[in-house]
Amino acid sequence: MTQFIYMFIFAVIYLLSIAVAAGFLTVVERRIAGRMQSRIGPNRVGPQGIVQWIADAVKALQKEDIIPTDAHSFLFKIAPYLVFMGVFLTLVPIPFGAYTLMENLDTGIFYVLAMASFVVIGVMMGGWASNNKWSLLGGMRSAAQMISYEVPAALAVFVVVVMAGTLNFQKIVFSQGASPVDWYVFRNPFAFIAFNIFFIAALAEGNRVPFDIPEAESELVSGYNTEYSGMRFLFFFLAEWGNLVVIGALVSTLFFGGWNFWFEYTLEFSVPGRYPIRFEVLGFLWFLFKVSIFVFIIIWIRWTLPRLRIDQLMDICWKYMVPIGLFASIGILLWMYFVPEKSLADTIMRYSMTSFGGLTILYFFYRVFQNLRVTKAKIYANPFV
Amino acid sequence: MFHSFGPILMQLVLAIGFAGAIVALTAIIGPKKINPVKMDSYECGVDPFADARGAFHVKFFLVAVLFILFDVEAIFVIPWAGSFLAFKKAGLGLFIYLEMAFFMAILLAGYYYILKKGALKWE
Amino acid sequence: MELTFIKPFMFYFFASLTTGSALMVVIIRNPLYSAAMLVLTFFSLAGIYVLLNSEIIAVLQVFVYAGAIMVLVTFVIMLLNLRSGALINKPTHIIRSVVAVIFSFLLFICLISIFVSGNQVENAPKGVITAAAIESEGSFQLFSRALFSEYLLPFELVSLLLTVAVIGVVVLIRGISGAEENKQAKKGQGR
Repeated sequence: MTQFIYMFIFAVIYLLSIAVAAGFLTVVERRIAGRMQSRIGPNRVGPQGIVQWIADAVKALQKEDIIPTDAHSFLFKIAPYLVFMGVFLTLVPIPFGAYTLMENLDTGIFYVLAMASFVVIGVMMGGWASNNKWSLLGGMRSAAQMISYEVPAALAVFVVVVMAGTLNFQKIVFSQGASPVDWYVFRNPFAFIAFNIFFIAALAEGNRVPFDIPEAESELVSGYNTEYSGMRFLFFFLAEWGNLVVIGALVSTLFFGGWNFWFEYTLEFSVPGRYPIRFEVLGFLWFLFKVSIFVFIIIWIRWTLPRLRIDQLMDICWKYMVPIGLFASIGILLWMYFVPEKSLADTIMRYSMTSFGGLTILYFFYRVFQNLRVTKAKIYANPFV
Repeated sequence: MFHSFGPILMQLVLAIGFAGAIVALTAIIGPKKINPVKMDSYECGVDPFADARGAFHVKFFLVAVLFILFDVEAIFVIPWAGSFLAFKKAGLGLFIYLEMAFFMAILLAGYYYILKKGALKWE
Repeated sequence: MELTFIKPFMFYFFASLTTGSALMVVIIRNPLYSAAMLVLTFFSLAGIYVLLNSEIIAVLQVFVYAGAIMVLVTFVIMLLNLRSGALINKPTHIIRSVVAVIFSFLLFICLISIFVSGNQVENAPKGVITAAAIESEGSFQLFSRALFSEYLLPFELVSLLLTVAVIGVVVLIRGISGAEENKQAKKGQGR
């Protein structure tokens, strides 16, 4: 019974923290968008506007729950739950630390892929039930897009699974080391390709720009959630920003070493209690840092790129990403067969890829600071206004 | 394993309960002023005409079928990837490679056929 | 684990949910509602698989059926734009219903015979996959080992089946869209 109570408390904390993170991210996104467009963005409620989301939630709570007369009320009502559930359950098997995880599932990867399908069904049902032309078009396009991009995502995951030899997220983290050299992205070129494919496909599955055709404001009003109002709309919204966390967490777990901190996790630590609590906290923070970097990149992409057209979107998926994914998965098989781990070629490849990645990032920062110095854009570069 | 799915069930119940409770709360707090215009579907200010649920292009159906095929492929290929290291350790490396090579070759032929026939052309 | 005592209750819960929602699928007249009920059926079936210690089958069940198959079903319903009861109100051919009744009766007898011969199933040789084996090795490892060694031929045949399905779909779709294009071309000539 005590176990049951612990489980319950943990689940409540989990749910609330994800909800808070998703809410908080909406403000962060609006602030970043504002600064990127030389606006200020919401900065009134709380210091730098960080509690804006509470104000928004309270406002939405007081709104009327409108269900159009023509809508199918049952499907209309359950659609937000399905989407919300699909996103929130996805985070269950993802480890945030050696012990900070909801459940260490042996079938973690399949589980995540399975949960993604609830989002598709929810979006489609919401779009159809609304009986609105925009909603229906948005829902159909969204469903077609999500299911299409699940194919390259699965191929990219295949590459990781080949290297790790398991579907368990915790074991995937263990099989990568702490240092960048051991991360799967820098192991070999095929894994790097897989990372790019996975990231792009994840953007498309989360309906993020440049793949936001389902919500194209200029064409479809708001897509599948046009008819929704108040709290039901907010659940679609929460799911979308919760999805950012999911994408960030998945990418950093699968390709960037997860929570694994600066030292090797040895077998000695696998006994509960032997693993020092400060390592756990550091690992958790390290993981959060990685996740927030990816979330930032996703937001950055959103405010930089234009939207694709639907035929371009389908072409990119089926004619470019699927073949490239197949190429990467065949390549990784050959690599794993001909280049044994810790051989000379393997080591050279790891170190050269890692240093190449590091140099690219350094060069990027060099360019940014160079630009700032030349243009003297001091005011615009300040994130806190 | 039963106990490993307990937390998931709990999370499921909690998530739905949380969402349901909040929606119920808005139903209590929020105003309820019904008028026919407000309850109409949104159509950019024009009175809604005809039923929105029209027929769709058959291409959507094609995408769904292709997705199922690749999905089914994934449920075979990903377990293969997961157990491949174990087989390799057991000295069956070449055997399991050939297995997958055969599987992949047939699927690639299918994929090539789709591309060749231009079924994925989205007009 | 302490929670084992819940297990029978969970089974009855999921079993009644499965049968209830499956019945609803048949009874409800709106095709999309019954599609939603079908999702519930698959989901509760997955629950039963979990109770049977078969994690991997449960997850695959949700992945393929609740994900892929359901999307297809919903697409088809939307494509055909079925109104509620549109299919039911259609008069059915008498031979078709007779054949359907016969086949469902046969299927029913098969099911019943399995339940009746429960003894036989109990006496059947037990496999190597016991609850203890799953506990120690994980259902995923056992599943994939069996799939890629014992059931190798079916596994390879699946790829053939999938390819045949791909070809079938492409041919079908080309038939439909070809007819549409012809229609449009004729329209263009008429003008």
